[in-house]
Amino acid sequence: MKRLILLLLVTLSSILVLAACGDNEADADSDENYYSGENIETVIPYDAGGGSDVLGRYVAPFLSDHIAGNPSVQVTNIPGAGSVIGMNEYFGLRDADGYSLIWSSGSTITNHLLGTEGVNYEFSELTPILGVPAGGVVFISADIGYEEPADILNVDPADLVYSGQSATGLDLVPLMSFDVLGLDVQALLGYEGSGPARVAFEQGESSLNYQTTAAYLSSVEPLVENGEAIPLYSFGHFDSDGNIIRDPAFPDLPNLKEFYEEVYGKEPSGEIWDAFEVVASRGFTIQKVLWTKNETPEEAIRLLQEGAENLAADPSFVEDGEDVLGGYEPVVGQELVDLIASIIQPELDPDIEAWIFDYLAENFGE
Amino acid sequence: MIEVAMEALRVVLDPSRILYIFLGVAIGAFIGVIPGLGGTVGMAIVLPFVFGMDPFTGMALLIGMIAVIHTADTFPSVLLGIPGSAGSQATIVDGYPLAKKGEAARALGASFTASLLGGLIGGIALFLAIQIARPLILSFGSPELLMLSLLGLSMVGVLTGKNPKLGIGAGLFGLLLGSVGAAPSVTEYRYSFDILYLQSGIPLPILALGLFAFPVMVDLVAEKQGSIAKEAKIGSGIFKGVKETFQHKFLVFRSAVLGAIIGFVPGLGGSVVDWISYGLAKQTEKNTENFGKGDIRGVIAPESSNNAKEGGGLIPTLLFGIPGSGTTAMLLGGLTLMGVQAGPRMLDQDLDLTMSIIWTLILANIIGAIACIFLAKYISKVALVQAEILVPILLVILTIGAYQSTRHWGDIILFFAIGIIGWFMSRLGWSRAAVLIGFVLATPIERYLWISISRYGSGWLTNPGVIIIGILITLIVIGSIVMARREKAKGGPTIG
Repeated sequence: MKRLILLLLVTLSSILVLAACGDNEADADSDENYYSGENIETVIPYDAGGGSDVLGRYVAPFLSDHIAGNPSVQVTNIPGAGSVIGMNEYFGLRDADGYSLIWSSGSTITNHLLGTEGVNYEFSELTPILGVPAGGVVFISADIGYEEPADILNVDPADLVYSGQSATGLDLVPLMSFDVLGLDVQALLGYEGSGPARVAFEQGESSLNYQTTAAYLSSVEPLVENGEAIPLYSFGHFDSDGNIIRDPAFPDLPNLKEFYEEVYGKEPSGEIWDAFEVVASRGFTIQKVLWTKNETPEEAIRLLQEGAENLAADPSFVEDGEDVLGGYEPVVGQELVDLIASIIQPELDPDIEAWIFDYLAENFGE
Repeated sequence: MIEVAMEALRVVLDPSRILYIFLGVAIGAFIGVIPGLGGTVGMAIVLPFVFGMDPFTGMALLIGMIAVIHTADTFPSVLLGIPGSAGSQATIVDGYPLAKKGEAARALGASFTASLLGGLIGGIALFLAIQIARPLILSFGSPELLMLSLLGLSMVGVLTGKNPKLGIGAGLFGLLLGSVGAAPSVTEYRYSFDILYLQSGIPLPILALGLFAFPVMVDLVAEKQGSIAKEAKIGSGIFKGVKETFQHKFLVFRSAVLGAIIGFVPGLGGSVVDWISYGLAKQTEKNTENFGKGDIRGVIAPESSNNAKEGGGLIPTLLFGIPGSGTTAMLLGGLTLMGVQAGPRMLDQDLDLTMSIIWTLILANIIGAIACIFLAKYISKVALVQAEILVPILLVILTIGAYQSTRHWGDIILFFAIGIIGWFMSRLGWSRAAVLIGFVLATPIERYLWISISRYGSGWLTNPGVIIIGILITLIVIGSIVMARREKAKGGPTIG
């Protein structure tokens, strides 16, 4: 019996010692901070498997590695109503504690821009952590006699048919670009996604189409090489002063402004051009943004932004994610804050807003 | 091509990858067995883990899972009369009566064998089709896709037996339900009553669970019959069922080819393939008076086709990046996560990956079916459990399954609301399959009709493809009228 008690005592004490050692070890780790041992939830207001979801899931482990304290980073999908449901839920129900972040994307911005019913979120109440650019290229069928920019005014207008998804999504940008160029294009909308819209182009159901950078590189470039499609222009990117520049993924392709100049020999101007700049810059320059709420504790915001900067400096982030990032480098830090402040957060000029509404009502019967 | 295929087989048979196929099969079987959970939920669970894997290993996991969901989802369909996933509803019509007669094992044996053979044919179809996929896909313009959707809709007549008027009514009701939410071509919200939840439309899993599972729950409790199998045995006829499937090899082949074709057409919705192949079996087989009362052929036909459709569905997904279903849409996301962009290059640069996907599909179907046959003896005991115990457990599982659709409280309200409608319909003998078919096809029909007319005016009506499919539709409609007359004379049952 005595022996048994002794054995128990020895076991117990050794467990205690071991436990104490464990504690000491943790104490010795002086990097304890806001995020040590915590969870971060990143809300994706889209279905699993879509572009935003893939990006969010790709970024999550890198965030966990690069934010001090190595919090675990989880992804939550709250899809519905073109990201409005997820954005509203984040805005209304999540605490501003830095443990819950949200990804926005193109339709988050267009829905807000167009004042879609049910929108309960404001970009001015959010602080950006990480931004990923996107771009788009408009291309034309080689069958309708187009060779150089000036030809675009001479092709038979009956041949100009555009295939896309919906006038209130990102298709708004190419559709407005046709009006900037003064082209009379029939818009064939309602395809199930950008993939089917491209197949319609390949079938000859349409002669004009646009694809975002990653899809263009993988699916349209082969068509261009076969001589079936000809790229026209990219939508361009915008710097933090609001000037249009070439899309960094397509340094050899003119942006819409340059294309216009080649066709007409002068700069584009007027209400339609102003409206295009507003919609294109918000839809494409910084398309997907990871946000936290403004009221998040300062320490948390600092750690998140530092984490994002470390992530952007990690060469394997860009290398491994070529397809996910669409060939662009992430934007972080002050550069991101400036771009967001000049592009996404400012109040929209009421004249331009009214103009876009009239434009949609007139052309697409909304 | 053959060389690459052999090389890919070596890659797939690497012990570490085989392990992932087994893991995928295990997850897929589990998800298939639980009512309400289907491919999309499975993908959502597995997707986070594929990041960082090499594409061959990741696809072994993903395809392994997708391949067996429609093998395992037969368990609840046959044993409980509840669809295990949206693709296994037609199996209930004859599978559940067989279970009630105490022949569950026979039905399961036949069904797993049919699933296995269907999956193999689907894999072979994928292999053959990738060589001619491009011209094939490019020949289906919007008008042809519209006609294919209408072809699916014309099956409503076949499925409703002696009451075609009620069937057409139910189909129209389904079309109406399918129009809830955002219109496909213009920004117009219909029947959404300013509720954000309804703006995205009614989720398919909710409709399927509500229509087919909820009424069974009510009846199980109300009938006080004790347990599902009236005789306290599940039978030992597993291998009898296996043998019967081989006896009906032409039915298996026909249904599987049909499944692969329907899976291949983007947007047609693989979730009605089981009903369409059931309807065709009923129309083309001889001595069909037992269909709906426990005819083994009523199990074989849908089960062969719903596994084959996965092979067909991968053709547009992999080669064109256009997914035909929620599951394949997520598969595309998974590919991107592993650094592969679906598209034409799957045929040259990434041909080895495409081949390994085909092998995985074939292997997973074999492994999954054998595992299910082995497990059938144990799992089928569920049919002997007392209803008072079974129903509450199932109701909880179903509610959670429904809630998985969008994780919005609207899911649960809608589940019970549609469930009550489904119960009334089952009591009155109205065809619920017709509602489902109408629902699934509402969006493609509207989309392609809109695009066809705005692009071609009325010129598309004379396309050769449109005319050929039009003739097929006419034949099916005439056939179903003749069949309804005959059944009325005999007083045959209404199914679905």
